[in-house]
Amino acid sequence: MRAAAFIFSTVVFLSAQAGAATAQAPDVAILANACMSCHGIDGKSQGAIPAIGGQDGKQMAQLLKDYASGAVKGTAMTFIAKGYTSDQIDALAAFFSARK
Amino acid sequence: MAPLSRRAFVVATAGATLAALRTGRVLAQARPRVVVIGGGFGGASVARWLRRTDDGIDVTLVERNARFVTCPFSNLVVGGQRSIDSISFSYDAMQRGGVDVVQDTATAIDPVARRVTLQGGRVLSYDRLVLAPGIQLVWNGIEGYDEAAGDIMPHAWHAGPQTLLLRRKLEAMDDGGVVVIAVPDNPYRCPPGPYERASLIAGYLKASKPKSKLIILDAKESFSKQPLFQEAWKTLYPGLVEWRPKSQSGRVVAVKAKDGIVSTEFDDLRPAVANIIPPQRAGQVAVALGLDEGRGFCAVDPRTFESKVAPGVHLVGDAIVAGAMPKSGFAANSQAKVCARAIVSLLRGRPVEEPVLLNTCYSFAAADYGFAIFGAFRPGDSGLIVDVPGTVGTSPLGASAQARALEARYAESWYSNITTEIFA
Repeated sequence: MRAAAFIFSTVVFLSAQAGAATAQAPDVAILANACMSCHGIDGKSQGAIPAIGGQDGKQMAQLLKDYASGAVKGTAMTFIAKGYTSDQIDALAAFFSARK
Repeated sequence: MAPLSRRAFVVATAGATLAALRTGRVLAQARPRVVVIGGGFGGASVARWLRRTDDGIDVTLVERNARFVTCPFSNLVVGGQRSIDSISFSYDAMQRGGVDVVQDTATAIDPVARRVTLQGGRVLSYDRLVLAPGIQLVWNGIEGYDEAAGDIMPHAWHAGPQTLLLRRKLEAMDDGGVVVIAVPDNPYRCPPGPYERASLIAGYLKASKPKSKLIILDAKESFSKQPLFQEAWKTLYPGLVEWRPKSQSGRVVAVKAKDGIVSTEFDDLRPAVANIIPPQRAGQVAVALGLDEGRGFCAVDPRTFESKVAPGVHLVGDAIVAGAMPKSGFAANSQAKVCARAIVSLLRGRPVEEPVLLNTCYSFAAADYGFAIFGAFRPGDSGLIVDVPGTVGTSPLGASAQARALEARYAESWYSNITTEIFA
C-alpha cells in the first residue's frame, strides 16, 4: 500500500512537472504560428519580408519593443508589435532565434 | 418552414451531441479523427496545422476541386500581370504531409453520430468536424443576377474559370468601352478586393485601351483603404476611374444580362464589360446545417472557433462572424492556426490557449505599387473577436514611389510564404 501510494504521488508529481515544463511552449507556439503567415514557416521567409528564423534574439526583441513604443517606424510591425506584451515579445524572439 | 425545421433539428441534437462528445473522449484516447470540409485558406490551413501540431491525429480534408485557385492575387490575373497557373495549388504536398485528401463533396452531416457522408459514398466518422466552406454568392440578391447571368457578367469572386472569363471579356472589349464593377454592401469576402481589381483593370485600360473608362458602382458610402486607393487612382490613372457611392446612385439593384443592362436605383447603364460582385453568405454546407441561424454568417467561440449552434463542429474563414476581423485569406489562415491548436487541446484534455490573431491585407494599385492594412485581434469579452488597440492601421498616404514598390515586393513575399506554408 505504501509503495502504491508512493508511486501514485510520484506519478502526480512527474506529470505536474511535465505540465509546468510544457506550459510555456504551447503559449509561444500559438503566438509564433501567426507570425509565420508573413515571415514563413519557422521564420524562413522567401522574398522581401525579413527572415526572422535564427536571428539574434536580443536584437529582435529590442526592435519589436521599439516598434511597439513608436521609437522605430516600419510598415506592418509598427502596428502589429503593439499587439503583444513585453513578455510575449521576449518569448517570440527566443522562439524564432532558436529556429536555425 | 424549411429554415425553422432545420434549426429545430440542430437545437434538438445539441444536447445529444454533448453527451456523445464525452464518449468521444474515450475514443479520442486511441487515435482522434478530425474531418475538415473545404480546402481553401481556412480549411487547408486547419488540416496542415493539425498534423504539424499533433501527428497522432488522423486528419481528412474533403475538397471538391483537385486544385485550389487563390482569390488573393487573382486580380493580377484579371489585370494581365499573372497567369492562372501561378495562383493555383495542388494538394499533393498536403497528402505527403499526412493529411488524407479526398476529392469529393459532403452530402450529409450527422452531428450526433458524428458522421459525414460523401457524394462518392464514403462515410467518414469524426471526433471533431471543421467546416471551411467560404462564401456562396446570393443569386438574385441583385434582381436578375443568377448563375446564367454570371456567365455573361462575371463575378470572378470565386477564383478560377470566372477569373479567366472576366479577363477574356476585357481583352475582347473595344477601346473606348466602359467597364463597370458592382460592389455589394458589407459584409463580403475581401473588403478591398473590388478596388484593387478596379486599379489593375485601370492599369490594363491605360496601357492597351486608353479611351476606355471604369466605373465602380458601390452599395456603400465608404470602403477599405479608401484614401490610399483614391490617391493611387489620381496618381496612376487620372480621369480613368470613377467611384459612385450609394448616395450617388451607386447601388446596383438589377441586371438584365442578355440585354447588357446594369441598373442602379436611378440609372440604367450599358457597359461593355460588367463585373457584378453580388451579396454573399456562408458556404452551403454551413447554411444547410443551420449554423448561420438564418443570419448569413455563423457565430463561433473566438478561442476554439467551435460553432455556437452545434458542439463539436468548428468553423473558420469567410463563413463566420469574425467581429473586427475582415473576410480575408490571411484572416482565415490565422483563425485556422488557432482553431487547430484548440482542437488538439480539446482532444487531448488540455486547457485552450489564449490567442492573438493577425491580419494583413496587401492591395496592388499596379504591379509595382502596393499598400496594406494591418491589425492584431483577440477574443473580446462580448464573445466576438475585437482588435487590439493601436494595432489597426494602414500604409501612410503620400508615400514615395519606392515605398509603394517595396510594399508590392512585401505583398509578393507574403503570398509566397503563406502559400508555401499551406500548400508546399
